[in-house]
Amino acid sequence: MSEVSDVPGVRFGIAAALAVLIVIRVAAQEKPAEMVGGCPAEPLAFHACALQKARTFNPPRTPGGKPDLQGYWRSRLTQAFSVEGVPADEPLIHDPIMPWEAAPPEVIDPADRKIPYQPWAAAIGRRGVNFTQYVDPRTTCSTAGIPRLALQDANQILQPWGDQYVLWAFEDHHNQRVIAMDGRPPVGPAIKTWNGLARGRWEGNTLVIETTNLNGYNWIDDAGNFYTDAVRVTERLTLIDPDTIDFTATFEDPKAYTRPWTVAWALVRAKEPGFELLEEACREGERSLDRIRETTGMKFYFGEPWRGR
Amino acid sequence: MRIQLSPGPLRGTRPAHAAAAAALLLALAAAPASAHHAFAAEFDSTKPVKFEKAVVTRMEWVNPHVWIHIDVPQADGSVEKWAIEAGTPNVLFRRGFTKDALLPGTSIVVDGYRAKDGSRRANGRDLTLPDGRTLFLGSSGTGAPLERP
Repeated sequence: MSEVSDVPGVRFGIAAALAVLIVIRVAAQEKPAEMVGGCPAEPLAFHACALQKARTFNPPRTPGGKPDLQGYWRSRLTQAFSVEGVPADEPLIHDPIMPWEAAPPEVIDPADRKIPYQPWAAAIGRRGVNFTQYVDPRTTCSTAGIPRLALQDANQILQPWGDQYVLWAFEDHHNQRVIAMDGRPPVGPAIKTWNGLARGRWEGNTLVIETTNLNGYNWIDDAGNFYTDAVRVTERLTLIDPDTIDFTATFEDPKAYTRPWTVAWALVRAKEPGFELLEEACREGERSLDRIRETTGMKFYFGEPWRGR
Repeated sequence: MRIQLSPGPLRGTRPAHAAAAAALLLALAAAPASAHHAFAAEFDSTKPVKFEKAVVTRMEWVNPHVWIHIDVPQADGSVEKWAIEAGTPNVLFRRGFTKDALLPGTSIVVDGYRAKDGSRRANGRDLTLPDGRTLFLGSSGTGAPLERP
């Protein structure tokens, strides 16, 4: 790959992606494939198609000559419940209050599209211990974490003059990330933070963000899929046309997984006239958390299921 | 697939705003976001409630969830006070719904699920206005199905 940085371990061809699409449509009687940026919206097919498009797309540039990703963006997902997908026999599909929806996974690698958990960790993620015994950390109004912030609704990318930083602001609970692009060294592993410390670089036209120093107190999705404080998350953002970003995130966590794994989805430019991020002061009128804990016996999540292992 | 109607030209809003809201609805349709699923645990999915002839007494336009306070007339002539939990202010706002949309005294029909603790609170699903139009309240989260038409 010349201009496009491929995700390590991800070499799925168009044919494989199409085969997946066909299987999904036949097996699940899916509605006709949705398209995004001229590619199928299904994450595996999308990423394969996006890699091809990115080879020939010449993105707009900042005054300093870097690809210009600035603007308002929304994640375009088939579902946001579990990155491993929601099968048609998932009982929560019939939950009358907050039903899940059957849809393909965002995991594109490994090929079985499941998180390669170590056995003990599989029992905690994947609607296991986390989901049944702990309040989703996002419910507490804290950050959704990395990369779940990008999985929520509207966000904004800003590239201040000089290209020393990329700023990524999120409407979800009013979060922001300052991504240092100046090659500064990482900090020591003793420092742990909710959104981690992000170091960015350009690989061709791809913005690569490596985030470490995460405290592991966030989940990856509603299903309680998780990483520990040993994780390194590498996100890649590549414009494939003026209004579509191919987004991937690769998780490396030797404490919890047997190998790195990757999710993908599209970020689509929000083009409504006058669109802007709104304040979301989640704490403002919060009055449900105590009741949830009293009613359900659920606990707050600070990584207890994996800490101390 | 749920049909989600725009609240349309509610009190104090012009049709142009309603059209803009409808356009936003279409744009939002493809933007599923994660739901605060824990909130579902606070309510009892086996206990649906429907309030006919409820009268709005107050609307709390607060994060993380809007609350609509209503008086519910009883057969014996008394009135029960209930609180209905709706979606986040930003989600409702982008659906064309504002804090002026439900002024005190407005008569509405509410569908939802009551709280497990037995208090007079419910998780709102649908709200029907006097002219028959229905607003999907977005439950108490911003879950994917709720963002779709």
